[in-house]
Amino acid sequence: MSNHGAPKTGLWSWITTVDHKRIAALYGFSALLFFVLGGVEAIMMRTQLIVPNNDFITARTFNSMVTMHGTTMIFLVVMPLSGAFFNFLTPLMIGARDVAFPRLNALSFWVFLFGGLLLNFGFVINEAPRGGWFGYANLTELQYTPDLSADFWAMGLQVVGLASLIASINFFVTILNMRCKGMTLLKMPMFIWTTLVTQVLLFLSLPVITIALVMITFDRHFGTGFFNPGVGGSVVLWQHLFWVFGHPEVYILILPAMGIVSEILATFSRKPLFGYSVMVYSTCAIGFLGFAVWAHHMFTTGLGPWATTFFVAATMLIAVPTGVKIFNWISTVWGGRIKITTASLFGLSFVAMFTFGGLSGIMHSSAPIDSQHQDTYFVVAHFHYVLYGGAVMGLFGGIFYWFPKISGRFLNETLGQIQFWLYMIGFNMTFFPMHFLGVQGMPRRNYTYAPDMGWDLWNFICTIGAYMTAVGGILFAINLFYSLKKGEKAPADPWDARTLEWTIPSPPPEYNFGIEPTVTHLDDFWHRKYDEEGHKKQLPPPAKYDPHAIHLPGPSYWPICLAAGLTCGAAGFFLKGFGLYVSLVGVAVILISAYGWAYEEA
Amino acid sequence: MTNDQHAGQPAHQNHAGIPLYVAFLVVLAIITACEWAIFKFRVSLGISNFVLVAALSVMSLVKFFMVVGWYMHLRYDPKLLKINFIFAFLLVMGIALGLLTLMSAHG
Amino acid sequence: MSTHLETNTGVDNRKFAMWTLIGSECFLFGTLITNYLINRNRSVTGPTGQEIFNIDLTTLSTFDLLLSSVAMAFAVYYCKHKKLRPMQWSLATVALFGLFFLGFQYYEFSHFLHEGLGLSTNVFGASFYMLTGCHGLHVAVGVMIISTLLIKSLIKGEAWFNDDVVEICGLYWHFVDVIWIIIFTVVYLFVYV
Repeated sequence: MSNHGAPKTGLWSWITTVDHKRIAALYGFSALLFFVLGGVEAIMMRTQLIVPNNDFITARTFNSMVTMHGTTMIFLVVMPLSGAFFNFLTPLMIGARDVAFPRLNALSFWVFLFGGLLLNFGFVINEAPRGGWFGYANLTELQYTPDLSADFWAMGLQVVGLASLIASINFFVTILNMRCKGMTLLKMPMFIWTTLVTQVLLFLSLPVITIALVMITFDRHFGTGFFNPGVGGSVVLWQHLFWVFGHPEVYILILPAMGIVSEILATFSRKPLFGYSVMVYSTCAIGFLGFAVWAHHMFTTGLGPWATTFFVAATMLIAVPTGVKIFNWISTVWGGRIKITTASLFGLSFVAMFTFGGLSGIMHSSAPIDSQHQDTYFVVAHFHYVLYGGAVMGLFGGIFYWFPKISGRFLNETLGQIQFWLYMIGFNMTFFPMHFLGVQGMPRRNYTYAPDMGWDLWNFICTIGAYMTAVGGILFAINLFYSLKKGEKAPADPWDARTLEWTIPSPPPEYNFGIEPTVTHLDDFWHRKYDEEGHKKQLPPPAKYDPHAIHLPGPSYWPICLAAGLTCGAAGFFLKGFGLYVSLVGVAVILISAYGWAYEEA
Repeated sequence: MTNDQHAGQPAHQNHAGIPLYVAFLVVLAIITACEWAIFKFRVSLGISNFVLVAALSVMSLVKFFMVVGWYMHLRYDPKLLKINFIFAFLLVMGIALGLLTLMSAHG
Repeated sequence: MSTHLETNTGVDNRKFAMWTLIGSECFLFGTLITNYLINRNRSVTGPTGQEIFNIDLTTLSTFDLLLSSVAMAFAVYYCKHKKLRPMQWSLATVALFGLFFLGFQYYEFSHFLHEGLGLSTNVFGASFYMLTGCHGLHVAVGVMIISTLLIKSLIKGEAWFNDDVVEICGLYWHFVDVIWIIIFTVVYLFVYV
């Protein structure tokens, strides 16, 4: 089971890797590339909206930008970037050598990448998806979207969803089954808890959208009428199925960032996370309640008074554990010796920005008020505050925090802080005025607006903010590439942190821990470094071990093969004529890869 | 508390043997036959829809949990595995009931 | 690869993964069943379940799947107790009864098609075929995997008694049976409700 003969460098070593740390880097880089793509899509929209009656892009192109910006940012940026952190940190934080199923881990990355390419392939033939990231039927039915754009969307999403499903099972088993000695569930770092709950949300909610996407594909290609009211189908059924998945999905987007922020704030305040067990229970409550609020996206569809009341109540209820978490973060920082770094700036801004987004969210939870908000820019403001001000800021905080561990070098702090302020100012410039625009009635997803509505000034400011953010993004790219080669070298524990990943060198050896750790406390590393009064303890010299005695799983090319077969099968599904053969080739590749995998020497 | 155990050895001794499995099969078959009978003779027995649904639901749930508990061994598995399955099952039942209620309100 | 690894729960990683997959599949089939229940009486044209279901035949196929389930339990038992021939006979029985079930499905589908119920005829048909088709696909995949195990056992003989893998396949197969238990009741026996 050893891989001492495996290549360590070169393209092939990356293609066949099953090392969770490398897979994390692959996820991270891909997500950042898609972030640029999603950012360009945003800039296109904002440029079109900079002045009224603009003709920078056509309505059709604008609709594609709306659709793909949302789809890309959600499924190809935030989820895989979170995935990069799950991959890198989960084994390290629980004291394990790798995840439960290393080849499955590689498979989920390649499936994600190929699915992301399939999702975007429509751009190549000028048939990019344009039905919104939520693909409401019956706009996406064949009658109203006769070209292939809706198929790229549906099939691409199926493939990408499968990647997340596979990964979620992997991490779920890893966390529950492979913790080191002494690490009980309530001694796990907060990030591992949010990761755990996120995986549960993933593997329970993804099947629902799988079926919904199958239904719209069948409607489009086999003449079923699931969403065709003319034959007894229902358009509202799509909305229900989509949002039963879609609401847990937004918690999937935010929980990992919440976990990251919990780690960052504790470290940079030099205090333990306030109210750890309450945070754990709140996270579980959010996960559970997340399944009970989906119809708050449908308040204007005529649910009826009883149903509406139920969902109003449930939505207000979910604000409670969320608010508890915010108070706990504030209490963590309160009275601490706060160190300002780019990471802690992003972490602190998360708390503020997410709270703003939560406040507009709780306004939506009232159905009568929501009937005014629905389809206006007020909603756009809300979800960007929670997803950008929240998730993206939190994830960038994580990048700056763990980059030294992953690469062995620091990201440049000066560039980082400039980027942070550009992001903060640009982000707020873009999205704060959207609250006003929404209240003033500007509808969302419209490619232009009339000049006499009084919306000109705010739209202009929004767009300038977007350009500022773009500059920040460019700075980050420079920072990243520079620091990878020439960044200041980082020690094992540059931030004087609390969790196990900081006990090993930066970057970590392939086998992670020379000797599998034993844990006696929550934040065990902190307790090894400091005694109860906060005085530094003498750390024992590191124990000796033989690195050659450690066996790791060998590399494999079956995951990328299986992923290619799967994507092939999905892509052929909606191509006329030769599409069937493409799918059959895909199925054959899947079968061959599955058997090859099963019979491979582990 | 961590409960490190070797994966090869179950935490208990599996008492189910061939005779128990055969006994279960007989019970499952009898219940299936009853389900068929209740359906077939519902009119002549004067069984209302409500009773039919109730009786059949109970019977199929009994079969469901017999297979899950004993054939799939869940009865003897660690708590985490049980919680995992029961949670998923109850949650999907809740959402299904919600969806059915919501969609029956729409025309 | 994950065998004989110390795990926190005492459960093998792959068995845990299969149970997790089963939790996920609860939602997959839950959505399909719910969708069927929503759509079954919304058709505008075409045959409905009340007109074309053959409950007697479906009950037979239910018995068939039950028998295959007990055969699977036998296979797991014999594998644990290292009884080669009984295990192989049991696995073969599971695969055979699985194929019978698929045969029942094929007969049923062709009969329905003949009666004028296709995939695009009405929403009842679409929902029915999607649900039972998905279940049938799961049965087919199960038959394939069990046949593979059987062939491996026939080739390697006494050297191959892979408890964990047979048990995990057993979990999958029993779950497929359990879903059918629900489908049988909710789709067929509730047809007049």
